[in-house]
Amino acid sequence: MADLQSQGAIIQVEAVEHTYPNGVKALRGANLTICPGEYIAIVGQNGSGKTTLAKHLNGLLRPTAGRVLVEGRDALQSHVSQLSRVVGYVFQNPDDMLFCSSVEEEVAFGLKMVGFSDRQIRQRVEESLERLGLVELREQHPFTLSLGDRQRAAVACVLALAPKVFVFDEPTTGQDHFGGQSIMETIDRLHADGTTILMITHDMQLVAEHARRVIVMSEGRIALDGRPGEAFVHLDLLESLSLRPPQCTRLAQLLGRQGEAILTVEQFCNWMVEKSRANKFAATKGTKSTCVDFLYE
Amino acid sequence: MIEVSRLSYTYPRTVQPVLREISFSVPAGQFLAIIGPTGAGKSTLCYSFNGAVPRLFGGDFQGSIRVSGLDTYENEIPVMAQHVGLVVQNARNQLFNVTVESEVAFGCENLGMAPPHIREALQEALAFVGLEGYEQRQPSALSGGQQQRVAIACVLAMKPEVLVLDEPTSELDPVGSEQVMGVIARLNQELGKTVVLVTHDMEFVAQYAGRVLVLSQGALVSDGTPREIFCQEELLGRVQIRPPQVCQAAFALRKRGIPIATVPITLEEARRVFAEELHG
Repeated sequence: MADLQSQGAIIQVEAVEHTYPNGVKALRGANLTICPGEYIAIVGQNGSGKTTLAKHLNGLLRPTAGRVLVEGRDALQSHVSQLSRVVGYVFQNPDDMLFCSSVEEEVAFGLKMVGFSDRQIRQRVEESLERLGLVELREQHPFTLSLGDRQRAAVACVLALAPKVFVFDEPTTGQDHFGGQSIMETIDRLHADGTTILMITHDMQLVAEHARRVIVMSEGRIALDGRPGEAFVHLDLLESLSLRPPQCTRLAQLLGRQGEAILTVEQFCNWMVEKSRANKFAATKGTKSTCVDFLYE
Repeated sequence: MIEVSRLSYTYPRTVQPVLREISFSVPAGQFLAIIGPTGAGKSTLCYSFNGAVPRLFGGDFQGSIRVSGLDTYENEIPVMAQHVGLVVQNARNQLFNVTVESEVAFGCENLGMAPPHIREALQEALAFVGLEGYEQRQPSALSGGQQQRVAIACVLAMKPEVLVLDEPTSELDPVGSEQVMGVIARLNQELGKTVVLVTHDMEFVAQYAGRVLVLSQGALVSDGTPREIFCQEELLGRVQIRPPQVCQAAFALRKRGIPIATVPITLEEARRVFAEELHG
């Protein structure tokens, strides 16, 4: 245990398998080490085991084989309410989490369950509402709020418990660009404050623009694990899993980009400007550019 | 095929109209995409094509809509349903039968079609969406993409001329989206259906739509081909729509002094346009 902590891992998933009572084998041996401060995206088709894996991290599911260590301790030895103070889980649909009659009560609920004193509860509720910009909405009934505000309320509930790790299950599904953006700002801020982020998503642009590490799941196993710049080079493998990196990533590869994948439009433009200068320079020198020749064969 | 004339609509017990003086017409066989931010009125417009707005919702309805020559205000929904099929965002909300077969047959039965015709329409519709052999399956046990295709088969079996789809892929995973988008493209290309699609998937719009309407705060703010729409950087910024990344890149490169001759809207075009720039 001391050994693990000295390596700096906050969560260790070791050869975890999970078979649901109906016989579906959702995880077939997953291995994963998560360090404090990481910003990880988990991608993969429905049924690839993303959510099953995430639910092992806070004890919502228990492994059929293998083990999960949270802060060096076997998750099986800890109660869900203890784990929830280390690993907070924000469900895909905020309405699965919200049931009190005001935002304030909602945020206080988890704290009561874990057994904080009234004073601590007041203080933590205050802090959470403040950090998520919900102070003015504190009296409102959660179901009168917009989807974006309900989502922030759900995050506030988890934030009040001050977990070291946040798991977001498809945080932007069903939102337009603007709504998704505002949720991502919240998540980025949590990460900047030192929280470890794990988000399950289908949105490869989100992965490219926000995550520092991407885990690609397929059939209950981890198929790829690396920085988005490394992982998105494997277009064929990703395509075979119906995962399509952002358009600018694909375009750069079509234009002969070598090495680290392009992740954002801005990176693409920088690369284009550089390339175009280099090519013009080469042209004046009378040397032939190699980068786009194949397109003209 | 569709004639919308000075349509304004306000939901009951609300003050602000959600649609304001909207007029446009859609010729038969067109693939029309409707885009705009949340709250622009896109779904309300979808619900008005079969008369559900205002028949089911009430509220204040001004102007008129004609589909296949039928006024949606004067004709009941079962009449309109034979001409306009509506598929909503979340297929689960639309499916309730215990088998795929009974689900797909349900609409036809309600129209009073003869059983042999229903059987034929059902088989054709299921084959078209790639779900032959799923007749006895339970809709609720299918994947999201399959459910959405069942929902499309349900309306297709009634043989409408127009299909209206309101964000049919926004809750699907990439595999499901691909399946459903493929079916939608074929509805237009192979069956010649008039398709009205609300989506946030701009790459798909660029690839398949023949025409795009931009809605913002209930008003029609732009109407043109995908190319005309996606080249309007200023307008898109104002209504918070991000065009495909290849367009964004073209805009950004122009600002940096790289003269991109034409703004590409698809990956294939971008490959050509940007390669020329690199080569030159």
